[in-house]
This record gives sequence, structure tokens and C-alpha cells, in this order.
Amino acid sequence: MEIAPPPFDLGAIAPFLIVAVGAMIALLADLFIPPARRPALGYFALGTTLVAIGACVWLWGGAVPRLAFANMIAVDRFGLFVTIVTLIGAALSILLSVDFLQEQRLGYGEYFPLMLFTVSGMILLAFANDLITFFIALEILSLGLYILAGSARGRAVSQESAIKYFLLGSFSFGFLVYGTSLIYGATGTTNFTALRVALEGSGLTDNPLLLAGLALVLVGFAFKLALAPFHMWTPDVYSGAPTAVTAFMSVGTKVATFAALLRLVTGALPALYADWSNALFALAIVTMILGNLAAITQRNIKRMLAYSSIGQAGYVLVAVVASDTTQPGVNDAAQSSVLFYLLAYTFMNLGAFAVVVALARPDDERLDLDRDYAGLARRQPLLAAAMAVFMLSLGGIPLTAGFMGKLLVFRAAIEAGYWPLAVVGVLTSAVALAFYLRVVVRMYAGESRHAEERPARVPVPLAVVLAVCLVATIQFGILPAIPLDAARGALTITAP
Amino acid sequence: MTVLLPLLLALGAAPVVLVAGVLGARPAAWASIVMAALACGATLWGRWAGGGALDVAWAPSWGLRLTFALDGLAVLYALLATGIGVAVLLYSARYLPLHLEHQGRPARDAIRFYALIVLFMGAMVGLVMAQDLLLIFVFWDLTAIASYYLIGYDRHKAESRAAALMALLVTGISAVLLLIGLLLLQALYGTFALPAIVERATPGPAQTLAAGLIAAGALVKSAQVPAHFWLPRAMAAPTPVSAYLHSAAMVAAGVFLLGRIYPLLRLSPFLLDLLLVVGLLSMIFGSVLALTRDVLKQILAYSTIAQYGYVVVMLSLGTSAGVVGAAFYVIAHALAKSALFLTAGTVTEVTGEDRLSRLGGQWRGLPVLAAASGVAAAGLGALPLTIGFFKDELFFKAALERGWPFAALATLGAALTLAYVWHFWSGIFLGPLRGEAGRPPLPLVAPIVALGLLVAVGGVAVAPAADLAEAAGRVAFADLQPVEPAYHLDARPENLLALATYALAATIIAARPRWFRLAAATARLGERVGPERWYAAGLVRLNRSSRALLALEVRDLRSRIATVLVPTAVLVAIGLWATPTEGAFRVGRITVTDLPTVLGLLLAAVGALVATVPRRPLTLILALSSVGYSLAAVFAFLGAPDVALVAVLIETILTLLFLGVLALFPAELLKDQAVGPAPRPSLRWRNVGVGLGAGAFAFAVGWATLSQPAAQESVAVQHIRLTPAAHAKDVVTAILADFRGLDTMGEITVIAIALLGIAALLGRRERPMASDERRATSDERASGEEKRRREGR
Repeated sequence: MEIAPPPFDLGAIAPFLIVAVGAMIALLADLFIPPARRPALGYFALGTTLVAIGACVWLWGGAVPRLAFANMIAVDRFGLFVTIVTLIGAALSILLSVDFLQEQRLGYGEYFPLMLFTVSGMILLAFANDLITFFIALEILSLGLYILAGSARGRAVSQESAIKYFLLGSFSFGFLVYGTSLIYGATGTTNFTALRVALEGSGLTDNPLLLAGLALVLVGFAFKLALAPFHMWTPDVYSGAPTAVTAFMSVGTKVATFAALLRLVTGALPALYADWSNALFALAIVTMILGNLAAITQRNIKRMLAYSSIGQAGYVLVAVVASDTTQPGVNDAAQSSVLFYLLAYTFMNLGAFAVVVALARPDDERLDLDRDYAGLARRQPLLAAAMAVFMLSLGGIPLTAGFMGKLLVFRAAIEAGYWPLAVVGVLTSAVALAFYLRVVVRMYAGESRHAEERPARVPVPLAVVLAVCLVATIQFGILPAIPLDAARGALTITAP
Repeated sequence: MTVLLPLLLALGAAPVVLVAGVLGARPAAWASIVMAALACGATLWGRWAGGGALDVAWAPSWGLRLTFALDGLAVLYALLATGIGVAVLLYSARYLPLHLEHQGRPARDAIRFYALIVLFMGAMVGLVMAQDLLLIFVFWDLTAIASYYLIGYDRHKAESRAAALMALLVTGISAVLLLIGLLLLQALYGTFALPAIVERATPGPAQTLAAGLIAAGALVKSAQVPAHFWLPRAMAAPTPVSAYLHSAAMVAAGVFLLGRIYPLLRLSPFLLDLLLVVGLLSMIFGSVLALTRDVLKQILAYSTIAQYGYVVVMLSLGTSAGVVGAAFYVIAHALAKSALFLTAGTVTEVTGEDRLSRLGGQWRGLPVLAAASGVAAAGLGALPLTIGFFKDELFFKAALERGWPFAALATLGAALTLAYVWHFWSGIFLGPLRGEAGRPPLPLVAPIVALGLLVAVGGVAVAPAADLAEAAGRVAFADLQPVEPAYHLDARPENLLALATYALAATIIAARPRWFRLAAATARLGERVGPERWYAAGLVRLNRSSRALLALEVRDLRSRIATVLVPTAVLVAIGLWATPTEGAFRVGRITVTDLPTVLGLLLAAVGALVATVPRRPLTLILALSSVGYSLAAVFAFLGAPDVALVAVLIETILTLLFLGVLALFPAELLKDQAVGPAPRPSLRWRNVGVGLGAGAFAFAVGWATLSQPAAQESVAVQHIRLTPAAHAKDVVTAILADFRGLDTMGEITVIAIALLGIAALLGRRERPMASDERRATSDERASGEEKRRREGR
């Protein structure tokens, strides 16, 4: 008997390969480049992500869906859409970092290669069609992030955040592996496609192993996505890590992991809809309430944004819950609203972090809402205006991307019959206005503490990031047709 | 085109003003006036040209459309927003420079003001023309944001910042209600388009709920009881803002929305009755409180609450006369009220006083102003020969249709109105002279005169206003009975009621000392237990719960692990609960040959238990490794010597690593750890509980796993079968060297490179770290959170 080697389809994983190879080149090049020219590595990394975006566009137009590596990878428009969003987030984060690293004297070192490795993990995550691929992708992503979180080697808080992230991260991976093995034990496969086929019309859906495995896998996801009550690491890690890293991990990880979650539950486990939707329903409610409520009293902008990102994840989860594949219309609306929300979230959240980065000083990160943001509108009117737009968007005020996202998500929830989710969502987003608007109020009405000092020059790369995020946030709010149609077009989770 | 022109002019005004602002504050002021006038003219032209509609795709794949129409309702409110906007902007062009000068602020600050006012105007015009609930919501929020900045315009004053925030939060609540309502309607009828919803709507509980939510949002915006408290607070805004927002625009948006969704409201008599109660309460409370106020703008604020109470009452009567009357009432009120607000502003500007008790006899110095505002006051008080007379005529007519009790209440309300209007006007202009008055500049009087003239002209030639109101009513009732307001010199009931009103008002004014204390007591009671208290308490509670939540998020690692373990256990428990237990948990037999296995497992259990007790790291490590070794022994007994070997190997390496790291640790740190205070007893029990819970579910899962045969032939069986073909003696060798040969080689390479790297690193470990360490300690000192944690321990 022959064991046939699985066919190699390198073209299918071109985005992943480009980023991974780029990371290796950057790692090697780092050895030969004099320290003064290290920022060039950042631009190299940026170029790599742009080339990878090009590859995604090329694949999008080509023959999709495409299964590769013994069905462990599924390259479809859904994955490509998510990959493009991730890569955009990564490109913007890289631009954000170039001057930030120098300013904060963090040193370049392995920063950009690690970032690229992390991105390669995210890309793999978006295409993962097997619990094993999924696990490997998540590990690639997380290992890079653990180190990046601690990349401010001189700062105790950064070290602390890295250790906490690592410990609790490994802990949660335990659940994931355990869950995966239970699912394998119950069904004999880890492949998403095979799982779906195995569960269809079988008596397996009542299997205790399968359900326990599902619960454990969901716990692993919940940890990675910082869903309450598995979110405890988030505030510390987000506030401890260097701001540019926080920005990157708050968008990239969430986008890729949500994609993987959606692919797993709707692509592999539609037969268990009743089970996972109930579990995620509970998580969504707890997450929305807890994230938004806890953010109210935060005075540190990074911690506030950390809790805010928890709340935002709750809104995305609402649409995931509504993804009932037995109702195609509802399912389409729900899944594409997940995609749109992730896209909008990437821009608005990165934009908010970009403002935080722009305000940071070498000796003081300027994170205190009362002290450092008060009166910002008078010192730096453009930055304050940008921040106001991002805050309003995160708060879901009309004419911004955030509003469109929330609207679609809640509409999907109501269409799927989950009106409690929509009601809790609307109410918590009203509560959320309290802290998003507080930033705006502070900036426009507060007394400036740093009035005497000259406003910081915003470096060009950072200005580019701000401009891109601003334009996207407003454009998606006023003329959402293009991204919405793209999200609709991406709705083919491969499950042949 | 008829739709697009007013819309574009109104929405484009803000950018135009900002561009003009580059030249300075005065060009910005003129730009805002011209844009408002143009928008007003375009609306008039649109009405003359017969209205029209606009419908373009917004996000077609999601069924979102931009639909606007210039129907009767839209014309009425758009004319008010732009027309009164012109008057207010003319007034502001002079008022604001003075206002800024008093406060020592730069003149350029005014540009923002003009831009915000016209932004508000644009949002208002967009709101009234929108035919799509989603668009209504968008513009609704835009008005809220613009009003936030306008009310908080004097941003150095804490009072106005608080007022702005309150207005924003309260109207934010209205937006939430609106959003839930419109999502519900969308779910019910599959569209956001209002005409289609109206067509498809059928009475039912869900429809009532949706319409009720939207109506509640509208009432909040119109400052109706019990959500009225934000309006008097919002008087902290500069006077032109109050004149605009609280007569013609922001509060009017609420009753506009009621008019817009009227066909939906009408389906439910229950909702209409509810509205009636709210309207009556607002009418009575607003009027009584207005009578007790001393600050000029406060009187007008409570008056606004009362007057919109009338409008709500008229709408809730459910008759076409009521709807038309409401529309007419809005016109008359907006004209008169904005004039009175501007009067208050001018009087305060020239005398420096803003209280009735310090004003009086001003007619001597300000005769023109006294006359103009007297006409406006008469209009609000519904005296004959003003437009206001007809608003009450229609009001009485509509109330009479419902029955005498309503007519009586209407009379009482109207009398109260007349009384406080007299209180306001006579307090300023009549009586002994109090307060030094300078000469007011012309632009601070002219708009008031213009508005007063309109009120008077409307009292003679009522047809244009009546036409507007009728056209607005047609949106709700296609088969409208024409109402023709006119003077009738006969003893018809409306006239009798009007006479009764005047008599009652005179009595109220004359008897002021008798009832004043009662009214003041009511006001105080309202302040003490009223909705404003609920609002404050709500905010406090929100903050408190947020703090409590953070306190709950304890910061030591143990609680974090608990927060992961407990929900996991719950999730798994639910999973197990949901499955049939029959056959899922099997118990085999234990024979003598199993004794070593059982002993090994017992040993592991004992080791795990022991590991929870010691506080010295060394003992802990040893206890933990004993668990590992006993499990390795169990594997050996179960006939898996290779697994046992690997387990022993790993266990040994880990223990050695642990010990090695421990040896490198500073001794004091370890001692601290060993002798530190014991955890609180409650935490200890929590830890025990969490451990037991998590263990129990892990046990249940393990049991279930073992009770079940493998689903498929595993790949291992296949590998064992293929081992001879690979010329290997055992399967492990075959896998390592053959089936996974390439993997093995890759792994060896990786390990070799890693070893080389480590060797290189170890070779150059002497690196200057001093500066980094110094920075680390200073950071630690700076980190408050770090400190708190140490104290907490």
C-alpha cells in the first residue's frame, strides 16, 4: 500500500509564503544593516505586506475556492477578505511603529520580522480548514505576540504584560488542544470539511465527547478573542505592551481569530448550531455588558481602549451567533456583517491607537485621560478632531463606519430572532457612549495641562496612518457600498 | 431638484461657513445668514413647485436607500428651521461678538458657533425630509451632536458643560429607543422605508411596541415629562442657541417625529392614550413651574415643555382636527417663542440682569422692544389679532371633539399659559423701573420686531399658516377635513372657552400670592424626588457598578485562573448535561491485576493534593514531580513502556529545569514567597471550590472519553500494519525514520540551530545591562498599578 503524499499547491498559500519569506529576509538583513538604517526594515516589511495584499487580490480574481495540502487549507474569498483586512491592519501598524520605536528608544531588533511572522500566523488562521492547521496558526501568531508585548525590554510593565500573556495564553491553549482531541475522539477527524460531513445526519451530535470538546475549543477561542469572562489578561497586556504592538494585536488577532471561529462553527459544525449558538449567546451578552461597563471608570486611555475592544468583540460575536446556516438569507447577512464590522473596527481602532502613539513622548507615554487629553483640541486641533471621529465611530454614531457595523450586526441579530442580543447591544452601546464621548469632552472642554509645551510634530508615516483610518472611517459610514458589496462577495466559506 | 436644492443648501451651509471663516468671523456670520436664507427660499420654492421626492441607492446589496421627500410635514418644519434660523443668525451676528467680548474670548470663536448652528439647521432639514427610518435616525443623532456642542458652547463654564452632557445623554437615550424601535419595525416589515412600513403595518403588540419605542424617543427629545429636566438645564447655552434649539428646532424634532410616524401611532389607541397622559402632565407641570421661575430663560424653558405638551395632547386626540391643530400650534409657538427668547437675550445684554426680580419698567428705555415682544407674548398667550388666537381656537376645537373634560383641561392649560406669559412680559417691561438699560444695537431688536410682525400678520391673514398646517396634516390623514381658522363673532364653544380662559388667567394672575407657595413647593418637590434625581442617581450607579466590576477583577493570577476554569467547567457541564447519559459512562471491573495501576493513580492523586499545601517552592516542585512520576508508572503498568519512558524523561528534565531556575532566583524573593501572609480564608475556600469544580468536570470528561470506543480505525493501526513493509522492527522507529522521516530531519535541524544560537548567546552574555535595569526600576516606581498590587497582597 502506498501512502500518497498530499499535492503541493504553493500558489494557494502565496500570501502566507510571501509574508513568511519576507520575515526571514528581514531577520537576516537585520544582521547586516547598520543600526541607523534599521527603519528601512520597517519599509521592507510594509512592502512585504503590500505584495501579499496584491497576491490576495490575484487569488480573489482566480479560481476560488481552492483546497490545498490535503484539505488542511481552504483558500476562499472569505479567507482572502479576512487576510486583506489583516494585512491592511499590519501595514498600518508597521507604519505606526517606524517612528514610535525610535522615539521610545525601543530599538528595532527583531520587531519587524516578529511582526511579519505573526502576520503569517494570522493569514494561516484565516485559511485554516483543519483544527491542527488552526492550532499551528494560532501558535505562530501567539508566540510572536508574546515577544512583541515584551519588546520594551527596559519597562517592567511591558515585561509583566508579556509574561501574563504567555502564561494565560499557554493555559488557554491547553483547553484548545484538549478540546481538539475530544472532537477527534468523537468523530475521528480534525478536518473541518470532514467534520461537517461526519456530523450531518449522524447520531453524533449528542455525543458527550463532542460537546465537551466543542465547549473547550470555544473556551480557547474566547480567550484569544478576549471575550468575557476570559478577558482578564486583556487590560494588563494591552496597557503594558508598547502602544504600537497593542494597536497591532487589538486588530490583527481579533480579525483573524473571528474568521477562524466563523469558519469552524459555520463551516464545520453547522449541525451543532443549537449548542454553539447558545454558548456564544451567553458569552456575547456577558462580553458586551462587562466590557462596556468596566471601561467607564478607566482613566488610562490604553486600558480604556482595551475594555472597549472587549465590548467591540461582543458586538461581532452577536453576528456570529446569528449565523444560522439553515436560513441562508439570515446567515448571509450575519456573516457579511461580521466581515464588515471587522473591517470597520480595524480602521477605527487603529486610528484611535495612532492618536495615542502620536501623543506619546519619550519620557512619558501621555496616557492619562484627565491630564493628557484635556484641552487637546486647543493644542492639536487636527489630532483631536481625528480622535473625536474615531471615538464617535467606536461609539456607533451615524455617518461613521462604526454605526454601519453596529446597525448591520443588530439587524442580523433581530432577523435571526435574537432580539435580546440586539437590545443588550443597543443599550450597552449607549452606555459605551459615556466613555467614548468623555474622551471627546475632555479634548474639547478640558483645561490643557501641557499648554506651554510645543505640540509634537506628527511624523509622516503616522500622518499617513491617521489619514487612511480617518478617510476609511468616514467613507464607510457615508458611502458603505464598496466594502459592503465586498463583504457580500466574500461569503463563500468553503465546505465542499 | 425641488428636494435636492433645499437639502443641499442646508447641508452644505456648514462647510461654506467654515470656508468663509478663513476670512474672519464677520464673513462667516454673513455666509451663515445667506445660506440659511437661501435654504429657506429653496424650501418655499420647492413648496410652490409642488414638492417632490428623491430616491437613490445607498448600499444596494443591503437594501439601504437614500430617500427624501418634500411633503407638507417636511415643508413646515424645514421652513421653521431655516426661517427662524435666519432671524436667529441675524441676531447672533451682533450678539455673539458682544457675548465673546464679555467673556474675554477671541472673536474667531464665533466661526465655530455659526458653523454649528447651520450644521444643526442642515441636520434638521435632512431629518424632516427623510423618508427612511434609518436616515431619520442618522439625522436625529446629528442634531444631538450639534446641539451638544451648541449647548456647551461656553466651554469654560462647568455648568454649561454639564448641561451639554446631560442634553446629550438624555437625547442619546432617545436615540437608543428610536434605534430599537426602527430595528423592530425593520424586522417586522422587512424595510426601513417609512411609506412601505405604513402601508404594511397592521395593529399588533409588536407594532405597538415598536411605535411606542419611537414615540418615547420623540417625547424625550421634545422634553416631555418625565424626561423634561434637561431642557431648563440647557438654558446655560448662549441665548441665540436657546432661541433656535428650544423653539424651532431641537425640541420640535420630537413632535415632528410623532407627526412622521403618526400613521403607525394611530393603529394603537392605547399608545395614543399614553401620549395624552404625557402631554397633559407636561402641559400642567410645565405651566405651573413656569409661573414660579424667576430667571427669564427658565420661564421660557418650562413654557416650552408646556407648549409641546399641548402639541402632544393634540396629536394624541387621534382626529384630523387634532393633527392639523398640532401643526399650526408648532408654527405659532415657534414664532412667538423665539421672539421671546431673543427678547430675554437683548434685555440681559443691555441691563446685565437675567432675573425678573431685578427687572421692571423697561418699556421706558426700550419701547420698540417692549411692543414687539408684547405682540409675541400676546401670540403665545393666544390673544386675538395674533396668530396665537387661532392656535388655541384649533386646540379648543380638537379638545371639544373628544369631550368636555378635555375642553376644561385645555382651558386650564391655556389660562396658565396666559398667566405666565403675563408674568414674564409684565415683569420685564411694566412696573417701577429696575435695572439700568443701555441702548440696544439695532440687530438685537430688528429680528424680534420681524418675528413680532409675523405673529401679528398671522393674526390677520391666517391662510398661509393654515395652509402649511393642513398640508402637514395630510401626511397623516389623506382624507383630511379642512379646518378653517377664522374670527367668528358669535357664541360658539371655542369663543366661550377663549373668554373663560381670559377670565381664569386674570384670576390666576390676581391670586398669585395665594397659590404661589403651593406651586413653589411643587417645584421643590420635583427637584428633590423628580426625574433629574433619577438621572443623577443613574449616573452614579453606573459609575459605581463599573468600579465594583473592576474591584471584582482581582489582580492576582489565581483569580484569573479561576475566571477561566469556572466558566469552562460550566460550559463543559452544560455540554455534558445536554447529552444522554445512557451508556456514556461505563464502569468496568477492577481485578487484582489492576492493583498496581490503582495504586499508581492513588499516588498521583495524593501527590496532587499535597502540592496544594506547601508554600516553599522546593517542596512544591517535588510534590508536582511526584505526580508526574506516578503517572509514568501507571503508563508502564498499562503496557505502554515507551510512553512511560518519555514521561519519565520529560518529568526529569522539567524538575531539573525548575530546580535550576530556583537556584538562580534571589533567596529573599523565595523567602518572601514562603513567609508572606496567608491568603484570606474566603479566597482559600474559593480556591478549593474552583479546584474541585474544575477537577470534577475534567474527571467527567475523562470518564466519558474512556467509556467510548474510538470512532474510526486510528492511523496508528495503519502504521503498525505498514511497519514490516518499512523494514523496521517496531512502529516507533518506522514512524521516526520512515513515515515521518522528513519531519524528523527538519526537527533535528531546528534543534541543532537552536543549540548553536544558545551557545552563541551564552558565549557573549557579558553585556552592559546597567542602564536598562535602572530604567526598569524607575518605571516600576511610576507604575501605580504595580504598587497597588503589592499593597493588596
